[in-house]
Amino acid sequence: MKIPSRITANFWIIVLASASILGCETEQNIPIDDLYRFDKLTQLQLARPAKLNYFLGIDKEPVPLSVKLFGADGTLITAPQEVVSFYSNNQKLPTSAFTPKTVGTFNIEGRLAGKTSNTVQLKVWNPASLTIRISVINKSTDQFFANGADSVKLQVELLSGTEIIDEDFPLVIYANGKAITSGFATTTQGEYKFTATALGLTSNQVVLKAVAPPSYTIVRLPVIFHEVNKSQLTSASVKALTDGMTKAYRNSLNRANRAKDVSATDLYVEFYPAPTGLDGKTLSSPGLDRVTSSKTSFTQEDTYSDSFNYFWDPVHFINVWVYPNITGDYANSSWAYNPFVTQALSGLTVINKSTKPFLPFGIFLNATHLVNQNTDEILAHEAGHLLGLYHVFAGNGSTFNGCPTSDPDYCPDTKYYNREDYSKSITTSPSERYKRNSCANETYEATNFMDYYYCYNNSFTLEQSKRVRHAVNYGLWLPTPFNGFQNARTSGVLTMVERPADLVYYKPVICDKQ
Amino acid sequence: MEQDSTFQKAPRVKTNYFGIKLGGLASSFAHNSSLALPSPANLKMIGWQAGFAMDMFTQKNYNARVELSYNTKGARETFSSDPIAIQTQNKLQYVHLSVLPLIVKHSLGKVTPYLGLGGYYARRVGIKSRWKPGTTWEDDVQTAQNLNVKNDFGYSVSLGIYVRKKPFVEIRYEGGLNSVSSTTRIRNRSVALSFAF
Repeated sequence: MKIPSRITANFWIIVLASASILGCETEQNIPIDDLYRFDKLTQLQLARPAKLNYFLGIDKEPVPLSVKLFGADGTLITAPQEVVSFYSNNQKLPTSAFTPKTVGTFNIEGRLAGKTSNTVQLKVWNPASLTIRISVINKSTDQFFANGADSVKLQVELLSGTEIIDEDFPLVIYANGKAITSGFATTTQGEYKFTATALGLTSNQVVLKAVAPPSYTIVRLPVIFHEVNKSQLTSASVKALTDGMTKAYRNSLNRANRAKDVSATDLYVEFYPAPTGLDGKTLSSPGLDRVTSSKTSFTQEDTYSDSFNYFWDPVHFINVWVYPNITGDYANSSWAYNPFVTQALSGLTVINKSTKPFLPFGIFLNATHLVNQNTDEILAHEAGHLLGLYHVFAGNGSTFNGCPTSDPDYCPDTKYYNREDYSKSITTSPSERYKRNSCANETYEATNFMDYYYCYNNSFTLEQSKRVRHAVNYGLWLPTPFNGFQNARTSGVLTMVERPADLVYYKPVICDKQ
Repeated sequence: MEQDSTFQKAPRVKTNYFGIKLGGLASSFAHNSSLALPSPANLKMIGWQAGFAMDMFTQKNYNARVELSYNTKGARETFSSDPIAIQTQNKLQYVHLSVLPLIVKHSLGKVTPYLGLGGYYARRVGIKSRWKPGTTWEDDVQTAQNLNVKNDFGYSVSLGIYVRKKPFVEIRYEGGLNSVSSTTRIRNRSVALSFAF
């Protein structure tokens, strides 16, 4: 049967119309999470805001939140921050920012495409519930010196109960009611009351006294140079060397004419060429004793033993042995020993005052250091060891110990640094060589006599002066009043130190020179 | 000698059509299993197609067809979550092989409408992705990498008209069965209007 054409045509019209109308979808709203860019999103990294602790009523501005997006292979996926939804304690934030409106702890997360970021915890505090505490961090007593350089370092802590809130906050510190910085120094003696105010709170009060800087009795130490197998030294050069040492210890040696350490101070110690020999007679060359050894070259151990052949009574002389042709590990070194004391001091050994010298207590000067060196600065350095001072870094010779956890020279007013790192990166720039980066990440110029090259060698500090004075007051085997030496010979004839029958080797403090 | 007055006409030979096909298409991506036709508003990506078509097994009410063409599919979409909306354009270029084994038709004289059912296989030969995170369009290499499946196949439903036994105009719906991404289920769908010569 033939189907009428108009029926067939109508049929197709109906089919087409039905398909286009009945089959139509409404437009979809596709969520951002389904954006194809985020198909391979594996990680959201929520950045730590500048602060984690906020103070109600003081921190009012919204804290911007930002997230980095990473794909499977660690590649960064860029996208506007608005694609990320931020949550605080699982409540969605209306914007990409956190506003401190209520007190509490808030765990912040970012979420996108089914992934959740790390959590950053923010805290909002009510300042009225907190306290602030001021304390002194660099003084063990309630005194400091009114010399303009000895500064008091103050620390202000914000506490919730006993919990310290680790956050910067605006504060003002006062000394006797006047606003100061966290480091305070003065030349005016008297009592100083320190307080702090912050966040509407007032701290406790700390009271310190600014007292006159120490003024010690000048101690004059006679020096005898035992020059072995050589005739480089003269009476004039010996005088020049001891004069240079004296200048160093009287805070007036500044060969490079550079700024000294802020704590540079007078140690009230002087050196001079010993005028008389062991026999009590005037030396033809004051301070100079030329000697001959059967050996022509010396290891450090050789000098240790050999020096007992010319070890003059240390209660009357600072012995300086000048050796040529040193071989082995110490070929480029001079060295000395730390003192032994009868009263304890950090880093020094306590022994009985009656103990006789069991090692060559003195200075060993490498004869090569008499040439093309500032030998008086070297001797000042070695005499520093003799008088209780350590290097301003951890280590000696060619052995270094990085940045230690405690101050390597026991002097809080000397910065210390990683000598090994410095040695590996010594620049060719002459001015840059004198710079150091301390273990506390401060950049400064090297000025201390107890440093190694490259150094301006113009400063001993206040804390170092205390250690030297302790060695003067309690150190054995030094020509000091403590040992009966009153800046002059007390007896006519003196003796050499007898080599111990059971001589034991003690390693000295080694000092390499450039 | 008398001739037989009756004679028989030679049987008419059914010739198969072979020609060129040109047209335009509107496409989008399907994000779910719906087979429904997309609304005109959803078909935001306009593309074009060009190729060759050949009918086979041509009979009065039936034939089959094979086509080889080049076409462009894809989608223009907007992704949004308060407070942001991001527009995207993904244009996928294919070499496209269509097979319609079932074309039923009914002659209305010079015009013969038909309904065709079949499927297709396509191999992607190019992709251009862009997005608009702010006020300007930017190339989206990340998305181009994520839409990483090059083989597409699916079904097709066609409605068309033969004129004097040659295909003239056709409207065809194609629905992809294979996702264009290995990690997200996104399938091509398109409606094409084409003319044959």
